[in-house]
Amino acid sequence: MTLGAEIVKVADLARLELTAQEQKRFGAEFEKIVAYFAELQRLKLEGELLLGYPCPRTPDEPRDYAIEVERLSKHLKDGYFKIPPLLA
Amino acid sequence: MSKLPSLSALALLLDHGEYTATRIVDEIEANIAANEPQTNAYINLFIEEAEAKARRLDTEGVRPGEDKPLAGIPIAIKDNICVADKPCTCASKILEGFVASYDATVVKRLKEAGAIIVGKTNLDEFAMGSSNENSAYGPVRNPLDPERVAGGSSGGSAAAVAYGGAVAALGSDTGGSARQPAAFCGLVGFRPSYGRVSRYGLVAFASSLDQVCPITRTVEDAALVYSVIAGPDPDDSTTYPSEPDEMDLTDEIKEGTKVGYIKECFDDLEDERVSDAVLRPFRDARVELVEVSVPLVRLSVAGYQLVAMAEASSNLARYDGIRYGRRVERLGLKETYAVTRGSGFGDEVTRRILIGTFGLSAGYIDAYYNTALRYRAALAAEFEEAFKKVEFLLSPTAPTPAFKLGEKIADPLAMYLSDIFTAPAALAALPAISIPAPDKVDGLPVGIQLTAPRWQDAKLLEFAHAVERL
Repeated sequence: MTLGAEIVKVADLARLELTAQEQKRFGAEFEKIVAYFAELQRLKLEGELLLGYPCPRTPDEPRDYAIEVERLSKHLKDGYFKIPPLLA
Repeated sequence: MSKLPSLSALALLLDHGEYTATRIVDEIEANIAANEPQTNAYINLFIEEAEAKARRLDTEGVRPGEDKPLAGIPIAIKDNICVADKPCTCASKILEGFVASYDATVVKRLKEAGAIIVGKTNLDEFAMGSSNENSAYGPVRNPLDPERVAGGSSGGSAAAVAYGGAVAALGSDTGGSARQPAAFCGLVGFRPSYGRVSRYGLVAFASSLDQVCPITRTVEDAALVYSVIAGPDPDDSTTYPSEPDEMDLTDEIKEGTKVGYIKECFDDLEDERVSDAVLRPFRDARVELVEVSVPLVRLSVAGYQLVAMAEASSNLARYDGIRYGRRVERLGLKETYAVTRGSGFGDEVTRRILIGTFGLSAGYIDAYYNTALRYRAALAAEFEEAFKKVEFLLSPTAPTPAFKLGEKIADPLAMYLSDIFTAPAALAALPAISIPAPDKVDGLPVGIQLTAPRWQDAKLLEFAHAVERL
C-alpha cells in the first residue's frame, strides 16, 4: 500500500488534522515524492547504518537552567501546564 | 548592493577610530528603511537596543580587539536561533507568542565578542525549504532582483547582508540552507563540520544534520564569525571536544593544491554557463584540477530528505499545543493536538512530518529510513575515497542561479532538487563553503562550492580565501 492510500492513517499517527481537500492533495504529491525516494532501494545497499553524529559524544551533566515556563505558554496553573480533558 | 565595508574592514576602521559603532548602526538602519518594505528579510528588529548598545560601546571606547573581536558589529540572527527575551517564531504560526528564555550558545558567544544583535531574520518555516517562500511572515525577495527568490531556508539572513541590513548574519544549514541563499545573493555561506559549532538554542529540525553557519560578504568575515562561535559546548554533547585549528589566511594558493571537480555534478547541469562560471577561475590558477567521481551524489536529495523528514517528524512532535506557543483547544487531548498542529503548521512542514512519519512507521522503516541511513554510510565512504586523491572537492552550489518566485513552489520535488549539490556534504558531516564566482549568469551570482575532509574547516577557509581572489 502507498502513502497516498494511507494518508489518513499517517496523519492520525502524526497528530495532524487534515481537511478532505488536503488529504487528496498531499496524497497525490506523496505518490510522486515517495516514488522518487524509493530510487534508493534500487541501489540494493547493505552494510552499516550511518546515524550521523561523527564526534565522540560527551556525557550530559545535569545543571540548573533559568528557564521560566511562563515564557513558553500562557496555559499554566500553579506552575503546571493546563491540558484539556484526556478523554473527550 | 551593500555599500558598507566588509566586517573585517569595518573592524579595522573601528579600531583606527575612522568609524564608530553608532555610525554603522545608523547606516544599517537607513538600509533597512530603504530595502525592507520590498525584501522582507526581517521578522523582528531591535533597532533601539542596537543604537543604545552602539552608543555605549562608543562612549566606553570599546573597539574590536582580541577580547572583543566583533565589538560594534551589527549581526542578524536567523529566527530559529534563540535570543533571550525575544520572540523566536521559526516563521511558523505554531510558535506565535513564544519568547526565548535563554541565548543560544552561538548568540551568547557573539554578544561576549561585542557584536550588536540587530534583529531576527525571515526563513522557511522551521528551516524547511529552498526559496524562503514557506514562511508565515511572507516570502523574502532577492535584493539583487526582487522577482527572484533569495534562496532558503536562510533567505532572510542572506538578503539582509546583501542589502546592507546587517554586516554579517547567522543562518543554519541542514541540507544547504546557508550555502544556497548565500550563492543566490552573491555572498559567502560556510557550513562547518558537523560538531564544530554548538546547536544549543538552535530550534531542532533534523538534529544529525543541523549546523549554525555564518553568512557574510567575504571568506575572511566568515572565518572571523566562525572563530567566535565554534568550539566545544557542555550544553551540546555532539560538539567536538577540542578547539578549532588556528587559521592563516593568505592571498596565495599553495602550489600544487589538488582540487577534484565532482564529475556527476557538472555532467548533470542543464546550463553550461553555470559550469563555466564555476570552473573558469581554477583553470588559470596554480591548482591541479582533476576529475573525481562520487556517483552517489546523484541520489543525495532522496537520502537527505528521508533522513531529514524522519528526524523532523520526531523533533516537531513537541509542538502539541500544550508546552509552546499556539493552542487551539478542543474537547479531548488528542483532538487538541491534531487541530493545533493541523492549523499551526504550513504546507511544507505538514508534508515533511507526514512523509517522515511514514518513513519511520512499522512496515516501511527498513525500505525508507534504514535504506537512507545505509545510503548515508555509502556516500560518506565515497567521499573518503575521493579525499585520498584530492585535498578539496569542487561543484556548483546550486544547479541554477536564483529562480523566480512561484517557479517551483507548486512542485515540491523540483524544489527539493535545488539542494542536490549541497545535501551530500551535510549527509557526510563535511565542511563546505559557497563563495561567489567572478562570472555571473544572466546578471545573477553563481556559487562555487568547495568541500573538505571532516575537521579540515581551517584549511577550507584558507583555501577559499585564496580562491576568492582569483
